[in-house]
Amino acid sequence: MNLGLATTYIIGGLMMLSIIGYNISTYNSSVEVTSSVTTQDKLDNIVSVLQTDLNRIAYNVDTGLIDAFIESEGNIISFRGDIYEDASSNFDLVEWRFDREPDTTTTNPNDFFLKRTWNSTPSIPNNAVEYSYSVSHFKVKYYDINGAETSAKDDIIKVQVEIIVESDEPYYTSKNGDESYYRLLWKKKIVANNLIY
Amino acid sequence: MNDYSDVLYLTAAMVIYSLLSINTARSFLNTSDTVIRSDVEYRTITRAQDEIEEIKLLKREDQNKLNPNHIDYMFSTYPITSNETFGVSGQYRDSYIISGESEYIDEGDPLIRRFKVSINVVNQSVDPNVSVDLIFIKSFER
Repeated sequence: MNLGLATTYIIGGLMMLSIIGYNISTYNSSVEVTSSVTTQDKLDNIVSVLQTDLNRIAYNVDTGLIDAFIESEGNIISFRGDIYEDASSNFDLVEWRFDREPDTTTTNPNDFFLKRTWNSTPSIPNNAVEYSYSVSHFKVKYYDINGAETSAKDDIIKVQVEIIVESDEPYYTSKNGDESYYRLLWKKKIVANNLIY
Repeated sequence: MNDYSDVLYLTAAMVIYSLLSINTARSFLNTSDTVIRSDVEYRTITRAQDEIEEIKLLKREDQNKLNPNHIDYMFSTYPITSNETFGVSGQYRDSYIISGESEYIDEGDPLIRRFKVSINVVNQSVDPNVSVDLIFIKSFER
C-alpha cells in the first residue's frame, strides 16, 4: 500500500475519532444543562404550591389554632387552613404525604410520589382532589416557639421542610451502566403567619 | 514541495480544530459553573429567608432583641457559622457564615416602633463565594 495513502487514513481516522468524542461531549453537556433546567422547574413548581399551603396553615380556622394540625409526622403533614380564600367555605383540608411509593412514570428509580390532597369542603370527604409530584426525598420537622423540635400539634410554630428532587432521565450513563441524575435540594423553615400570636 | 504544503494545510486545520475544541470546552465549563452557582445561590437565599422567619417570630415584649444598644441584642454574637445537612442520611452538607444587624427607624410614630433588619449569608462551597443580602422591616406596637 502507498505510504502516503496509509498515513492519510491514519490521520483521517484520528480526526474522525476526535470529532466523534467532541460530539459525545457536546451531547452530554446539552443533556446536563437541559436536565438542570427541567429539574429546577420541577422543584420550583412543588415549592411554590407547598409554600402557599404552609403559609395558610390555620387561616380562617374558626375553632382556633388548637385545631390547625391534623397530622404532624416526618413524612405526613396535614392541616386546616383557607388556601384559596374561596367564599364557599371557611377552611380547607390539606395533606402532603410521602409514602415512598415508586413513581414508575419516570426512568429514575429514586423517584417516589409526593401526594398532595386538597379538600375545600371538609364535611364531604369525597370532594378531595389528589395531586402527585415526583420527588426523591421529603421530610418535615416541627418546632415550637423556642426553636425546639416538637411533636405536640398545639405547640407547632415553625415547620421545616426538606425536599430532594432528581431529574426524570439520566444526564449521563457510564460504560458499566451507572446512571447519573441531576439532583436539587431545598430546605426551609416556614413560620405560618396565622400561628404567631 | 506538494508534500510540504499538505503537511502545512493539515497542521493549520488541526490548530483551528483544537482552538474550536478548547473554546467549546471552556463554554461547557462556564455553563456547568453557572448551573452549580445558581443551585448554591438558591439554597443560600433560602437560608437567609430562614433567618428572616426567626425575626418574624419576635413578640412585642422581645423587641429589645433588635435594639443594638440593649444587652439582649440578638446579633451581638454574630457572625455565626451554621452547618446544614440534607438528604435521607444527612449525606449532603452546606456551611454558611451568617451576619446580621438591626437598626431602629425613627419615624416619630407614637404607635409603632420599626426596625430595619439586615441579614447577610455567605456560602463558601464555591469560589468566589455566594453572598446573599436580605432586608426586613419588623414593626412592633409601642
